Amino acid sequence: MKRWLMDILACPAPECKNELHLEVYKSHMVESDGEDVEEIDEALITCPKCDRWYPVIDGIACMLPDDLRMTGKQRIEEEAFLERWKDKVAPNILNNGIPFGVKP
Amino acid sequence: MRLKDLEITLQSMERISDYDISLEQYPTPATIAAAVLFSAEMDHGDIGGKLVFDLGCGDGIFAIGAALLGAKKAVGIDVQSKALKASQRNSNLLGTEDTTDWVLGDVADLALKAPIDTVLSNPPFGVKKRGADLRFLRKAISIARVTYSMHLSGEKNRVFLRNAVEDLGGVVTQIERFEFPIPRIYKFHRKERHMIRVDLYRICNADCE
Repeated sequence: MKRWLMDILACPAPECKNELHLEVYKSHMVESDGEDVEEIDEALITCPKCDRWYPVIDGIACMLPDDLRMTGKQRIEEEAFLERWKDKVAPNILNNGIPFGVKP
Repeated sequence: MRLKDLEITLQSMERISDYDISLEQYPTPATIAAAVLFSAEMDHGDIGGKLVFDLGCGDGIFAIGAALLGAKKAVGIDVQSKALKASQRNSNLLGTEDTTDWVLGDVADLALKAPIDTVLSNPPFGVKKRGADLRFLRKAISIARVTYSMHLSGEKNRVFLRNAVEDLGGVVTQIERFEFPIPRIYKFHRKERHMIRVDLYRICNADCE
């Protein structure tokens, strides 16, 4: 994911559409057209209005609606993301994140 | 870049090989994607220097093709993460990683900070799941000045879609028919490969001159 994506996207939650906040945990530089471009591998996207969080996993911003995040493989991947970065993720997200946090 | 070069470049992409039937995904053939993109740029100047979205991007062929034709930025959104992983690999393969990006999400929920220039989309055909193509059109017309969208051909569908587009605040400015080869990717397809007719719609919204 590139930083410029945050200049384009707003929060996808229904009725929210607020500006998003990005916190980069891991990124690397790639060369493209002779220029160095930052590729974000892992990051946390948060919405200050509806308090949802969205992960960037393996370079892809995961911004699915709540119902598609709550179960299955996606839930497992997103929980693993919180676990992986629990030293950096804010405690209110870990404990009471929307749509979920980490299991106690 | 010439049309032939764009075709050859897009043909080197990795295509997705297994499909989710409920999503009615049919990969856009490289030759058709190239023809659509080339005409959008040469006839209308809708790609070069523009902010482009590919709704239901699958393996990313429209977004990557747009980037190759000089789009300022091209973003693909899809609800399937394995499709986006293919898009990422394709983008790296074709050297468009600085101007493309990918979002895992539901097209209907996509929210942007500001209107964009152009949408390119090969939405679900909406045969098995009624209205799936209209959900994509509604979003496209609400965010983009110009939309290029592919739909099943046929007189009845043309009348229906023209009216639907008008209800959504858009105007159909052009329809072009393509023959779309569908490989036998679903079990209910009986022939090895069959041709279907697909219409490409060019749609302007209220901001379009």
